[in-house]
Amino acid sequence: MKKILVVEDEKNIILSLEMFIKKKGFEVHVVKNGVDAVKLAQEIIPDLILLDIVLPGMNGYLVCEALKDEDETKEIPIVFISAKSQEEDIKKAYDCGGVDYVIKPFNHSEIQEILNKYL
Amino acid sequence: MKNRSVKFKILSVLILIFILLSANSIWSIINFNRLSDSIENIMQSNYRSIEAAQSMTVAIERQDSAELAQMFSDKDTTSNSFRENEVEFLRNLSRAEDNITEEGEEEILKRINSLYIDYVDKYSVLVEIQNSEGSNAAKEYYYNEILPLFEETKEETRKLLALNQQGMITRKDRAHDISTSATFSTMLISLLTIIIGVVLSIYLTKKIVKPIRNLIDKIKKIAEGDYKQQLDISGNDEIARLAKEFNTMTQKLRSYELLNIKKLMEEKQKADAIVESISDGIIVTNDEHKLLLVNRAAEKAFNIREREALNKHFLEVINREDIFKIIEKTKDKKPTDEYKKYLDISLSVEDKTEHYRLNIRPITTKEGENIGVVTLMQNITKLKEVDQIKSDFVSTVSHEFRTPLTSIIMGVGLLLDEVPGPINEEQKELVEAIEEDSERLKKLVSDLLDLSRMESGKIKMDIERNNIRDILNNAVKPFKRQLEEKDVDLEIKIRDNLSNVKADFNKISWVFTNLIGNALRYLPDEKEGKIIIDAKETANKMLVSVADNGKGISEEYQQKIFEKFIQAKDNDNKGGTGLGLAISKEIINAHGGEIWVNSKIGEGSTFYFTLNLG
Repeated sequence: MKKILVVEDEKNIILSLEMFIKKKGFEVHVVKNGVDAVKLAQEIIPDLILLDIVLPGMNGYLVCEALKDEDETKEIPIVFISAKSQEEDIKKAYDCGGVDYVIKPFNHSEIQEILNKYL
Repeated sequence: MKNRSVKFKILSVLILIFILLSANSIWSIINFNRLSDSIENIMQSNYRSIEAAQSMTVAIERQDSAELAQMFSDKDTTSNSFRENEVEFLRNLSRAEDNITEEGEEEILKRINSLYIDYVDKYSVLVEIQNSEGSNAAKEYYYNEILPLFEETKEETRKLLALNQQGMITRKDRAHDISTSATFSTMLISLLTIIIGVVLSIYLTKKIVKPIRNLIDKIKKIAEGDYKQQLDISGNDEIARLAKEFNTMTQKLRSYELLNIKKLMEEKQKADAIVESISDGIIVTNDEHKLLLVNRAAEKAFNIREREALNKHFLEVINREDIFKIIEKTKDKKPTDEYKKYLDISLSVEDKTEHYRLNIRPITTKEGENIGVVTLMQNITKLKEVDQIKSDFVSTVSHEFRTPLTSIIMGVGLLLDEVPGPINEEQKELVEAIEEDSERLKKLVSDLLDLSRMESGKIKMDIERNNIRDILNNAVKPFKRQLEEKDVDLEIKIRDNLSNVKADFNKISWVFTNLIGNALRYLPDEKEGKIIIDAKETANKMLVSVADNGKGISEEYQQKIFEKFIQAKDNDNKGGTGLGLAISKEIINAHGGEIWVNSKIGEGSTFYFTLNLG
């Protein structure tokens, strides 16, 4: 079973994301801050990471960079999910190694597309 | 002549010339008379004496003949002839005696007289000798006594003749002299008259013309606005009176002018005070871009002094090419022309950054002539600050909306897909309503964010040369199905060979999308919808129009619809966010274009926007 790591600090978003991804038949792991995200990713080596940018402690960009720096985790596709919609934010996400960027608010079809694309 | 009138002066000169002419005439008459007397004199003095002398010669010769005849023929006839000629001789002698004119003439006549008496006496002796002693004795007596006497008498009469002839020549010469001197003297007097006449005329003309010239010069100066001119008044003639009136007139003009100037100064000071007190900056430049006015607010904004800046070129005082460029372009614009009238600038004033909106307009006279440019500086620092706060607020709020919206949209989506489990029809209906409105909320948030970014200039325009037709085709694509469903006729009139425009492809495409979406949203239900899109080239702009036959927009909303959150009232909510036109306006303005609408209720609306040609 493919593993998806969701890094998100909003519990209501976690609720619907987790439910949707589980229903689609994937294993979901959720962490609410950047430090935990890096730790868990190195531990379980997920097949896809959905990564928020604004997080307590370490932000999404730093998480992305940290994962790309490690050989074990650098191949994992990272898709940013964020309310930030300005060009420079999106550019930064791609620059640090993100493969895609989904702007909040998104709906489940957009998530479905991402799952189809990277898994 | 100094105190006399011009009339008197002219008359005096004319009379003087007339007197001279009269003198000349009198002199000529005198000379004529002298000449005539001289000729008469010749007649009287000599001609008669000459005639008498000749007659005496004839008479005595005849007497001599009579004496010769006496000695050879009849006594009586010869004696008669002698006596007759004696009378003739004496008559002429007395005529000559009455007309003694020449020196020595009297002596000659006295001698003739005594000789002739002797001659006549000797004739009587001859007659007696003839009668008594016969012809031979008579002949002897004649040759010895009478003939020498006859010759002598004749000689004297010849002398008389010669004397008088000589006198005649003398008198003729004198007459000639008189006529010559008369000619010269008359010529002299005439010349004198002419010279005096000319001199007097010149003097008089100068006398009259000089003050008139003076007057003309002064009047010219007055015409140029110098009312201080005064004429020197001397004398009492007409010109002096004119000068006096002239001086009175200039004094009145001057006091009138001073009064006017005073009034004008007061008005100007009032106007100046008003202009100075206006809190917005005002800069006025003339048609050569020289500064005519800089009020206090403008002085402060640019840190310049009006006194030092006046009459200098704009750029010499204010080193802002961007402002000057607009002023230069504005100079020749008509009030109806479309052009960029505003410029927002930031200036550092007393260590603070102040923002100004410059409103630059031509100064046009009533006759339609442009005489300069007025630049109004509206301080929009406060507005900008408020706007920034508002933008930040809107940006923050809409950003903060996104997270809760994500869970709502996700949750609703999952419910409708029955991921957690099946739902009944009523539940489904409710959830669908939630989905629709959350999508609207999503669009609103996204539009708000776009707009606030656009307003703060955070969104950069990617302006390239583009074909307007290509942009439109891109914008129309997503509407294909909607147009077919609603049975709306979309007509694109844009020609293929139009020039390119300078445009950000995606942003202008967005504007088209928005305008077409609006048109579709407000199309009438009762008649067939029609949308016409056209583009025309003007001098340096592309004018694009999107026309519909919808319900139209009332006049009060035609300006407002380009503001945020304004939707024309009296229509049901058709699902717009009220931000589309505001964003369109921001996009078009960022392209240096304008956007506006013409509309009539019930007939439809036409939206226009302009883009620069590429």
